[in-house]
Amino acid sequence: MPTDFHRADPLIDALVADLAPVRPRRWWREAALLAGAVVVEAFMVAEIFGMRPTTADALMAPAFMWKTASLTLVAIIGAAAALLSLDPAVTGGRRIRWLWGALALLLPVALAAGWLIDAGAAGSEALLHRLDWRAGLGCVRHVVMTALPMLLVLAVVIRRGAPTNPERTAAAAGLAAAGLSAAGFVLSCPHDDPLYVAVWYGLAVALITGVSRLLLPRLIRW
Amino acid sequence: MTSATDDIWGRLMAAAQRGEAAPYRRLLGELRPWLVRYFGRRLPPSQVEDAVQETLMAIHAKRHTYDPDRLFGPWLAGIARYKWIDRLRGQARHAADELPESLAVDDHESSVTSAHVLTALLATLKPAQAEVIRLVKLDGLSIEEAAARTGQSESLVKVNIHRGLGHLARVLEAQADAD
Repeated sequence: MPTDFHRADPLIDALVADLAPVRPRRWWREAALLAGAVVVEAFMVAEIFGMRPTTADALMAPAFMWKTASLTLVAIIGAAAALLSLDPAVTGGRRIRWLWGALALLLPVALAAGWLIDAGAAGSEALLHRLDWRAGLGCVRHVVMTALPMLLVLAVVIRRGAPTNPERTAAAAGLAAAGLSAAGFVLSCPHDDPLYVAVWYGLAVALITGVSRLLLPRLIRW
Repeated sequence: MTSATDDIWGRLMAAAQRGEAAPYRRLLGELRPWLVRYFGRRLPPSQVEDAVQETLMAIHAKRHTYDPDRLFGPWLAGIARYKWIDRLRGQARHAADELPESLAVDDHESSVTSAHVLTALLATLKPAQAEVIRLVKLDGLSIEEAAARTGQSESLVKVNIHRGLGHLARVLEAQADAD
């Protein structure tokens, strides 16, 4: 195609001169990278902190299943929203609006489910004892520490994408990182009390999401 | 944009992703007037050229995010819209910057279409904000002139420009793409 009928344009000349082949991004490649990071981190955590002493019965308990399922859902929906939001064609449309809605709904629903399980558990101990704040802060620190590397991996992936709503993408990435690390921590944390999980895991997830929402947009602007 | 145009631009971009220079040059050459029209409707005339160039560079830097199996139009619109909102935000941050003396209104028919999308959006703002944005950002008055015209103090003019444009950027970002 001749270019004669276009005004000579130094910018276009420069961009054409800079053209190199690129591989179109695919969300599933990024999802696979993320999954790889989860596996690596899970092994490191298991190596360093060990698995919780447990029985098959404990793993089948409603409280344990609730905690694992909720955190895994947070991680999956957060990661899906973050990755899908990297395509300008998708963010603009209505296709992923339901994902943001699901994210907003998930937390209240998860907490309500925990409360129901809790109500059936007939816990008679004192509230403070159940909260066990020393262990709780340990859990928060652990989840935050393991979430940060995940957030870093996500940030690298996001920077390669084209997020057209950086604040939302950052919040989704924070939820994904926190959810992934908390879901992994389930394997070594011996606390299944829904109150404990809601307070301390909730605090850790909120912290990471807040940090991501505040700092990440600066890094991913383009 | 018709879907036929989408297809052609999409195929050109797919070729560009493989590193073919000629289709890429043709694509950029065709995108430029489209972007001039897009931003001409949405930004003060003095900002259009900057926005066009910035968007062309963004398209270049992010060309790997285009999925060759899908339409090109929504991808392009998403990037243009992001750059538009980004610019409104930047304007809000530099509320006190006045337009340069020479309003760079060149060959494109911007005297007719000039920023009419932006003008329509201004109607959704508080009148005091909309008025000073129109006077300073679109008509090219100085802060002092706008203050004298509206009876707002100079600092209030700046605050109203800042808040008004910031509000527009947030509203636009929140709503699903309606273009």
